[in-house]
Amino acid sequence: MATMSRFRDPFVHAVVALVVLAAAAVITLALGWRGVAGHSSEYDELPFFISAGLGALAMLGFAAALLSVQCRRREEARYRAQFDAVVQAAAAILTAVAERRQAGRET
Amino acid sequence: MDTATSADRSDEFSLAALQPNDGDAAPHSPGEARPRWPAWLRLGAPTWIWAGVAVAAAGFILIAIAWGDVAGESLVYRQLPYLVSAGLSGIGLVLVGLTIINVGTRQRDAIDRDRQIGQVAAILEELRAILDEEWRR
Repeated sequence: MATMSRFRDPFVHAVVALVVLAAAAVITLALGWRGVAGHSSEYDELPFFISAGLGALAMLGFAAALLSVQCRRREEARYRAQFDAVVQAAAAILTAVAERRQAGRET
Repeated sequence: MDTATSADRSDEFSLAALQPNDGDAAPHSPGEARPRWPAWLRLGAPTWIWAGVAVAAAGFILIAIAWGDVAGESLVYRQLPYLVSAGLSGIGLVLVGLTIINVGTRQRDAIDRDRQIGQVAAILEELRAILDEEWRR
């Protein structure tokens, strides 16, 4: 059950998608290398360099950067949840003090 | 500050302080001038994140265009301009898009953090007012 609920987490979905994108970029790089190595003239090699080299590099950078953003946002969300507990505790203290003060006035 | 009045309203205040504000917009003190920008254009609005995604997507499209143009030429000296104009510009656009996404998400997180700190500060201020009044008696 815990594993299933973990898979329902949107963060896990995003990480899986980005890891797949990064893996696709690495495979594209390998295909580009194969394409460039298989041709002997520069004008045949250049399209491979652009589609596989630049394209894969951009994809890899995109996936890595978004992964970093996702991880940072998860940490921020965790921090906010902890800080929210502090806010709730402060509000509870304020309520308790106000109630005690009100009770002191009535007696 | 009228401490007695504020202390009497402490229950009401604590609930009001914990109410979420309008979400995307940063809270403004009464004396502060309202920003002129519409809400969807302010820092931290989701529009910026989507704009970053759109710019990065434009970069990928530019790389695809560069590939198509370069593949259509058989002379290296005619291929290189496409590589530089579309290929490298595409990479640049992807980087710009990622930067916009990064800054946009940071702004959103900062607004949420400011809101929480503002809540704690307001609660503590109210608490201080109550305790001040108690000690004066």
